[in-house]
Amino acid sequence: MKRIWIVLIMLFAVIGLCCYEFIFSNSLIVQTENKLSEANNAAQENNINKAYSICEGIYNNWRNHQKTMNIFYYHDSVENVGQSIALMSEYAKYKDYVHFYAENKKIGEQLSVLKSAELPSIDNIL
Amino acid sequence: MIISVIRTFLLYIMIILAVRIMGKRQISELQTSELVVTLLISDIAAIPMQNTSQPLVSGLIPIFILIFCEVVLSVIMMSSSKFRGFVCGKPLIVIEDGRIDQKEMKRLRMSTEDLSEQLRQLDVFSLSDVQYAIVETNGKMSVLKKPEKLQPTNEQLNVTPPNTGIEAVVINNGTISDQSLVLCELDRDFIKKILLNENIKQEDVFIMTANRTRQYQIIKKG
Repeated sequence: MKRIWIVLIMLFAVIGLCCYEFIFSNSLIVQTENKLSEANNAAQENNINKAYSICEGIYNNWRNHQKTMNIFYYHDSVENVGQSIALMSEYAKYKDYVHFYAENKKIGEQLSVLKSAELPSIDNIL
Repeated sequence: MIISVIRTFLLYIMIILAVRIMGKRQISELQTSELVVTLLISDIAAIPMQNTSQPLVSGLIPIFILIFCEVVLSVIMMSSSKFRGFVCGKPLIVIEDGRIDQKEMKRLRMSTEDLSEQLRQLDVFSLSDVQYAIVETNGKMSVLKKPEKLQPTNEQLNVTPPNTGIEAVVINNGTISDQSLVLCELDRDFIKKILLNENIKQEDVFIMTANRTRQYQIIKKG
């Protein structure tokens, strides 16, 4: 009976961890996506300075949460997003609109892959 | 590289814990489900050990889930023999009343050489000695010899051998084992008295065994 209790506690801990991971990563990704579209809008309104400060905010926020994200995701995927955000920020700083939009789109795709990879859907399971 | 070292230690501890939780059955003869779990755990643990970019939890979570499945499965099997039969199969009789059941041997894909080999491992060197041979669910063979080929027991011979109990290692490398003393109903004073009589210091003893009838054997360190 002791073993059953141990494995049940383990199962609940695992389920708890999975739920935390899902909620945590989902909220961070959604938050980053919103900020990305905010930066994109600012750039389209020719307010590149605002876009740059938003990018810096996204970068700092991502870096602050990177350690936790690394616990759950492949480190390369998390690192790639961080690098792309840093790059986008630099493009905004030097007013390189073409690369800024491209990088913005790329980060959006990377985040969407990260987000959808954790959804318990049939295609992900298979 | 240091990450690999730390991860290996963590996963090693995790696997030992896993095997401990799954119980003693896991380290002796494996049933079907136990074999599957053992193979999977060793395989799953190896991946995050080598690939440091993979999160450690992606290796640990499947191990936890497998332990859970294994323990739950064994509890269900304990209460339902039908379910146990479904998961582990049933023991198969390959020799019944001295006759080989060729049909069962075909089902088991067991050749006569395999049968003879397994019988030899059980100290049976002639097929004619066997009354029953059963292939258990873990793949091991159990044999019942014909009555005329069985060795007589002390009871049948009306002999009463002395009950010496279990012989336990009471001193191992100079250290007294209290657990062994309890097992053979002895105490530390008895051991000290023996060592005094034999004129040996406790720390010079490599191994000392004793039993309930106070018979002992001492091997000194070389």
